[in-house]
Amino acid sequence: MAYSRHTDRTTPAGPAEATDPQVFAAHYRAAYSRLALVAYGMIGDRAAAEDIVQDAALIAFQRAGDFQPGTNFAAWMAEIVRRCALNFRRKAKHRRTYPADPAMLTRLERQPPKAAGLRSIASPAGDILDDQSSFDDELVRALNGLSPEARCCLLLRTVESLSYAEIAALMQMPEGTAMSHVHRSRTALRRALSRPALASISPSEAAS
Amino acid sequence: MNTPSPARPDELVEAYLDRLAADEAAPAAAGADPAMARQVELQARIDGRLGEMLQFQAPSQEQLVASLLARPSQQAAPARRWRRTMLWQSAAAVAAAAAIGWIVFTATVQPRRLAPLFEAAPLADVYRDAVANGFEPYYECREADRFADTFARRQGTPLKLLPLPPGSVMLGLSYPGGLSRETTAMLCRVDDKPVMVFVDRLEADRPGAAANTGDVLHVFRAERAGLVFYEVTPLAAPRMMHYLAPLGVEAEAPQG
Repeated sequence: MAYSRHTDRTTPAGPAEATDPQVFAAHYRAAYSRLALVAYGMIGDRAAAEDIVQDAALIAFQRAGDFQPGTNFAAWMAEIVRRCALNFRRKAKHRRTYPADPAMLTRLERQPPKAAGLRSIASPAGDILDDQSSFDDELVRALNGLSPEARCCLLLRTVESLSYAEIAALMQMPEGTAMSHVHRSRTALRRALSRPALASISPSEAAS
Repeated sequence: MNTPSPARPDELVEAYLDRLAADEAAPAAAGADPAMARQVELQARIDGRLGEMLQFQAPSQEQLVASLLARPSQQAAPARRWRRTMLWQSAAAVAAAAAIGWIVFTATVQPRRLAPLFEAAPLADVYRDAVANGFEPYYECREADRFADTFARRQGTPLKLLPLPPGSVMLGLSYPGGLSRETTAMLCRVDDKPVMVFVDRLEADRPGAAANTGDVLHVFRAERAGLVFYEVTPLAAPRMMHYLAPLGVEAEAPQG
């Protein structure tokens, strides 16, 4: 395998220790924000992410005996979180209740942005408008446009400041893939949040 | 910056950002190149907002230990789920075979018939059907504007939902038919019992709407603002229909 499962300081010493609820809870809490970001990355919904991480804790605790001592507890948990998230996504696909009337949303999508009360934050000069709420809206929209894996990698890097090796271990992917996801995601977000031409063309390219 | 010239600008920015993150001495090129400086500044703003928006608070050690110990019965859950999946798969296979058979039968044997465009049904039947199917609304409707717009579009009169008393929850809206194709139903839980309020134009009202209630269900009827309201409920009194009020009309929530 191209990636390695790194050991870390938050790894329980053995199966008996992992099945102790106090020890398990301490390790889980130490990894919580990373796990929540993985869940958010997979689903793109904060409340659902918190539910998923909670469900994953219960499942992981029942299977704590399967944990391999000396391996990365957070990576082991992250795998369970990802499976829970995939289950959630599969179930959500079959939900019959929509958060909004789909017919109404389709109608809004067909309207030009101004008519729907929306506006772009991009300005003709390429500057960022000083409007935090639209910036956040556009940011979330751009974030939701990324693939789940790319979103996970980006958030782990940006919010948790993890190294690419740590991200690779958590996401069970090669380090180069994690780096590539982060780079492409950052570029995609910058392009979405500024005028594409100014974001991607250097003066030398523009001159040629 | 000592970088090969063919490198794309995005790659330069990424390399720069990674070096910043690694806390190495930042190359001076970012300051010298306005386009790159803008990108770095924008990225810093994005990173800052993401960091603020996505802070997750871990549960306390005590809460977590309590929830871990509170659900030992979940040990059997995966096996149960697996069995349920197999049952569903078998049922789906049978249903698919039946559907294919029906299509072949209707295409070859049965003479073509035009289905009625809409068939009115007693509201108690619609209610029972909704309960049997999990009592899930077609969509949640959390915004007052969309709530009003839905009724304006379907019944010609925008409605608002007045503040509900404790024990009453609006789950969402559905379009289950009943009186007409345009009937809008509000699904609610009152004292944990499923309750449906059907709304339609007064001219869509039908005599058989309150039929088939059986011994358990009650149907209550009201007229307001050119609309007819039916509440189908297992409770002995209407608890939800009076909380629907035409938009723009001053209305007070009923007492109790």
